[in-house]
Amino acid sequence: MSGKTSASRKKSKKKRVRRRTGRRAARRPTRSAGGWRRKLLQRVGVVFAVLIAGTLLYGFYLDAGIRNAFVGQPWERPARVFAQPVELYAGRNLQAQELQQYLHQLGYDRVAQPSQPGEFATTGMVVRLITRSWGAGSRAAAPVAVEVRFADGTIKELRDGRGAPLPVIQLEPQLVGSIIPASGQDRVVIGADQVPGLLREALVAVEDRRFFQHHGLDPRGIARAAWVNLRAGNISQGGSTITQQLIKSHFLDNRRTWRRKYAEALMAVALDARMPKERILLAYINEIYLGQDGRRAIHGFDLASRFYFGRSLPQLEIQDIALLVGLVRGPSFYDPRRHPQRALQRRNDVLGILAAGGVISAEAATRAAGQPLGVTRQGQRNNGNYPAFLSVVTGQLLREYDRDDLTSTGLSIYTTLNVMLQNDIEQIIRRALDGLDVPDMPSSADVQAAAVVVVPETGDLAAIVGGRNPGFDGFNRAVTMRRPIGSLIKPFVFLAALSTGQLELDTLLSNERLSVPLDTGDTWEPDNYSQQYGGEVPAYRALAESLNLPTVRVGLQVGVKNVITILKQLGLQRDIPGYPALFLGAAELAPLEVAQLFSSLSTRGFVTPVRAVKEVVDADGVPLSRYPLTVSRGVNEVAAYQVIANLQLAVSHGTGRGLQKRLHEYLEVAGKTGTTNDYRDSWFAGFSGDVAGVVWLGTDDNSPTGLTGARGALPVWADIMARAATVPLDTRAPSGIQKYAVYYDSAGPAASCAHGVLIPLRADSHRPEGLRCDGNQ
Amino acid sequence: MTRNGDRADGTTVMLPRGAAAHLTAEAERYQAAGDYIAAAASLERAMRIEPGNPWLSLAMARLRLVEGAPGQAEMLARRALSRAAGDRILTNRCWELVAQARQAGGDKAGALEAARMADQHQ
Repeated sequence: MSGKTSASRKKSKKKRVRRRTGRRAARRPTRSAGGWRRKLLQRVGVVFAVLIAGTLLYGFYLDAGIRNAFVGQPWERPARVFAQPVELYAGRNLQAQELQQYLHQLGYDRVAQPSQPGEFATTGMVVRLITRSWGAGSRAAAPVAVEVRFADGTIKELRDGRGAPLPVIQLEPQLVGSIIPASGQDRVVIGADQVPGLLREALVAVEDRRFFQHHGLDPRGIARAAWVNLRAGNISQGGSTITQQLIKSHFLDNRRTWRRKYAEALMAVALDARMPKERILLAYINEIYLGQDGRRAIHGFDLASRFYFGRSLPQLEIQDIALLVGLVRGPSFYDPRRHPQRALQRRNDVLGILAAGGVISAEAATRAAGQPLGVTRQGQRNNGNYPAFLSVVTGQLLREYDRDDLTSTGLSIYTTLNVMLQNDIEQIIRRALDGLDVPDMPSSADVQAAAVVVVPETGDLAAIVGGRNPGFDGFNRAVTMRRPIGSLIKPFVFLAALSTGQLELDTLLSNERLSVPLDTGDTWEPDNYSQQYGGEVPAYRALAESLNLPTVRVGLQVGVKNVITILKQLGLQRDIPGYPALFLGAAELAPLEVAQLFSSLSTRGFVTPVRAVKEVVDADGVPLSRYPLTVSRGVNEVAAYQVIANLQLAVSHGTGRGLQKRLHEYLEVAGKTGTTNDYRDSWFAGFSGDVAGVVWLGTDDNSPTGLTGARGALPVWADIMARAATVPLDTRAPSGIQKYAVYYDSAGPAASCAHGVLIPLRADSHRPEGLRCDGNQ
Repeated sequence: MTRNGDRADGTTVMLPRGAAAHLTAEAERYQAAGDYIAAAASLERAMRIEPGNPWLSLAMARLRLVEGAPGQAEMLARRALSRAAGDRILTNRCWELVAQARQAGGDKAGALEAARMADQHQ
């Protein structure tokens, strides 16, 4: 365009101008009117693409997290821990009332006439029920109609639905907990069949009406919440779906950042795509945070049900479920114990929503709204949680399985827990400690307790209590606490001496003071508890009356090593320090360890290890691990029998005398008191013909309680045994024993076999002047 | 539960009754069918119902022997013996089982000894 003449330039200018106007003009409107928009669109498009790509990538990353957290093992089917199934049979010691309570705890419905599994009816001394099916594969048990007739505190008759006599029937075992890997918490995870329909419907109605329709996010819900918040001028409504809430709860992140919300939204969509709605709802029901119990967080509706109402989820009424559903929005804000008015209002609001949504009838809602809150005082009733026992189970299993293994595909763990006994023992201990009248003690509220009950024949750990508030997940004193056992060691010192033949039960022992030189160069000068000494006593009296001086002499003669060997042969799995102070019980053991020792003693030295788990079974009923009872020979039977007989003497004539007025006279038991220095620990351990029990009383900070074994632990042990023991000690002697009748005090021969006491000696310990008594007495 | 017995006649230890008897019979059936796990489960149930009954320890000993655990079989039979208290039949059966268990475990001398003990209590 350049280089033209002025005339032509004029012309071309015109032309140029025209041309410019033509072409460039055409271009200019694009650039000025539309060009920037396109670039903007391009830019926006790029940003969007980046966002989407980023979202997708982030989504994949989160999805992996979802898969691991939810679709993977823990949420599919956690390992479930079951108690020992209750056996019903004619002749069993059981009261109608006890069976009813247990059925209630199992979640059976009380009806007029049972017509389906899980129902029972009571008329007077007859309980009729239909058991639920349980187990899987070849172990599956079908429902059975049962009629139980009671009389005199026992089951008199057991019949099936057709009236034919039933020799024995097992009720399905109670679920006592689950094993969750990540947190390791003991929570009660329930299956779909244990969720009341009302709970499912209520959650959907109150928290997420379009739960079954949306895909993880609910745009309408979000929009409505935003609108409400806008109008209210603050954020009062969430728009969160159940899926979102589940994500939020599970990842336990309290940060309420936009990035968090964004991630949650993506994860909710991913989760919804991956898991069926019912499973999401079930996970929610098992996961959602519903309260605080000290430092234990209450997650899941079943645990919350037990925590607030002392009952399992299937046992709740309409208003109870409404209360729990109402708690979702603010477990602290609506805490029924701290803010009862608010909780009541919220509960009734929920009832209103349910009525409006047609989930329940208006009449039902009104009726329910008129009911009181009904929550229990904390820790008042057993809430179906047995953390002490569960910790033993987990401990036993973790020796063989990884935590991850334990939670794969629906394992069932069958244990030895005797739920009815456990419940009763927890109550006994609570009552005993609440009623404790302790002299010169700073505060009897500080006294703690632990108890263990074992079935020696099978090694079953039947019951275990870790503290005076057993439902609280905390320090398990029965297992984790080790205390000096004091005089509980004495039977084993004598056992060692008897089994090596160095001692006979009627050997005269010096009761004089003595000085024991120690390796450290110091001298140890033990004394009797009564501080009385002098003369001689027969060995059986030294043990029955727990005299220190003769015991130390016996110990010195047999040697510390031999005593420790005996303990290990009887099931002690650790090494303990080998000082002479051991003879008076300086060794520190846990109550569970003591239970093993006395259990082994009670079977006359046939050692069956205490176990909590019997079997681990997979979801199809195939056993993965079995823990059958095993027996090994721990000590000489004859010596064991002698010590048992001596501990019976302790009850009839010695430090265990206090038992006599507390136990039925036919229940023959053997037992030993244990008191440590300055009355810091109060122990009692012993057994009947069918169970062995250990009780410990003391304080956590090791301050004195002022209680001897006889004043503190003995009465509690007596109450426990009165409830747990049904078979008296079998006093028939094994071969190799010869009994002599002597007068207890003098050890001289009695006038006849019906006089004095019977002392068992080894058959080859001839006593020509003694009065031999044959026959099994 | 105290019982005076004349040594010459021997006392007898009561066989399992009621539910325990039923479960023992059930265990025997399982054992005959080769289902040792179920047999053991039934016997354990019986033991919980009648703890200390030596007939149950003996039954469990028999099961262990059949399962190929002669060591446990002998232990359980010895446990039964410690409660046999002069019951001749029970004592005899226990020693018989000990003999079999020792034989299965390769302890021929011990098996002979146990067989002799069994004979003493015919």
